[in-house]
Amino acid sequence: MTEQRSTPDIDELDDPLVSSAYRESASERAPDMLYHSVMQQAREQVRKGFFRPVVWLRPMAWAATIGLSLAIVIELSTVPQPAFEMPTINVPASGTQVLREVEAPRRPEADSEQPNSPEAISPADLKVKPFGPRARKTITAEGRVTLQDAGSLHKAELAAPAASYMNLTPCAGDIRDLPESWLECIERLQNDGLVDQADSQRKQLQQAFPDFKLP
Amino acid sequence: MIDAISLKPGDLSLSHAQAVAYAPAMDPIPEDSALMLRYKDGDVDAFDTLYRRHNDALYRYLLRLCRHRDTAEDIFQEVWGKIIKARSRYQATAKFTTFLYRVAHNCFIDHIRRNQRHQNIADVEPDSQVSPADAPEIETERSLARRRLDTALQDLPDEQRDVFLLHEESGLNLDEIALVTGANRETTKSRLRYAVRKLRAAISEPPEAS
Repeated sequence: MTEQRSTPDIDELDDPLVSSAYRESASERAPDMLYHSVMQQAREQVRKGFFRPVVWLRPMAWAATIGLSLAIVIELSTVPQPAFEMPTINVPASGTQVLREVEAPRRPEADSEQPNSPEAISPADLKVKPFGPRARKTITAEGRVTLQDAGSLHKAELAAPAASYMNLTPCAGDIRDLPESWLECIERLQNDGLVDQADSQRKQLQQAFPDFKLP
Repeated sequence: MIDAISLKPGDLSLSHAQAVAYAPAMDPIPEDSALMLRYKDGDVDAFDTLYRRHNDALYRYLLRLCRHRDTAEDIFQEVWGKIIKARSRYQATAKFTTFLYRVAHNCFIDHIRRNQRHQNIADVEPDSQVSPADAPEIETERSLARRRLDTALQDLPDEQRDVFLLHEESGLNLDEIALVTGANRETTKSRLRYAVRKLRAAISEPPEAS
């Protein structure tokens, strides 16, 4: 009892016999399987730590993409747009119109009349094919067709007036009553560059008035 | 040693443990805390060294504490898993061994709370146990003493066995064991004294006349 009190704590609690017996008994070692398992955990944890910034990178990339997209949209919506003017296409109204222009000097009653006035040129006379459903066709007093929806225009539609013009029979009607007026019409065609039609008309004129001397 | 190469922790604005951790090859046996700090920075080899330094003692501690090999191995992996996960928060404020065994002790307590299996099943077969092929007459008194010690150790109350195993395996002093077990110093001392006394009595028992 007295001996126990006089010794330090650790000496009192250390029993060499017990310790050596325990040491001889306890000689187990941790299995290698546990070593591999633990080390794998350790490596994975380090790898996770290494790639941790990447985890944040993806949301950041999304946020940056969305932010940039919004910025571009806002920028585009705030920039003042230049006024877009629809192209004005001058379409020869129709062959009838041309004929009327040609006839004009021969018809005194038409002198007071504007050749391209709305009364003189009806849409039916123009023979302009209707454009797409969204196209708005405006016929001005001068006989110009203004297209207000160029996007819906088609090449065939644009070419339609020219085709109708080509298919007309020029110098028809009263103009053929006199060879002089017919010839005058033919000369107009010639001057307008419609050489083929002028030649054709010239032949017809010669057949109709064989006595008339063509220049 | 560190002062001799002018690697003063204060000069480098590092803690002592950090300075030791990064002292290049001056300390042939780095401290556990230094190894843990190196592992914190991604050095897996440092953790390997740390593991090899403590794995067997920790395994024996858990094996004899749980008295069931599978349970001991489960807890063993759980302990190291917690150490690994705690690496980013680790600070060398305490001795690593204390930290390690405190985690182990807590894992064991959690296991007791979850599962009472360890109390009824004793599955540990010490390596020194005599195989059935050995004849009783060749068993020395020394091996008999070891067997008695193992039996006595298994019969100890959990708290006493815990303190005794910590004392033998971890090399911690009484204060550190008290810190690990969460008991005060006197209680710890008392538990250890009782444990040693019972084990000594078991070893010193005269052999039974067969």
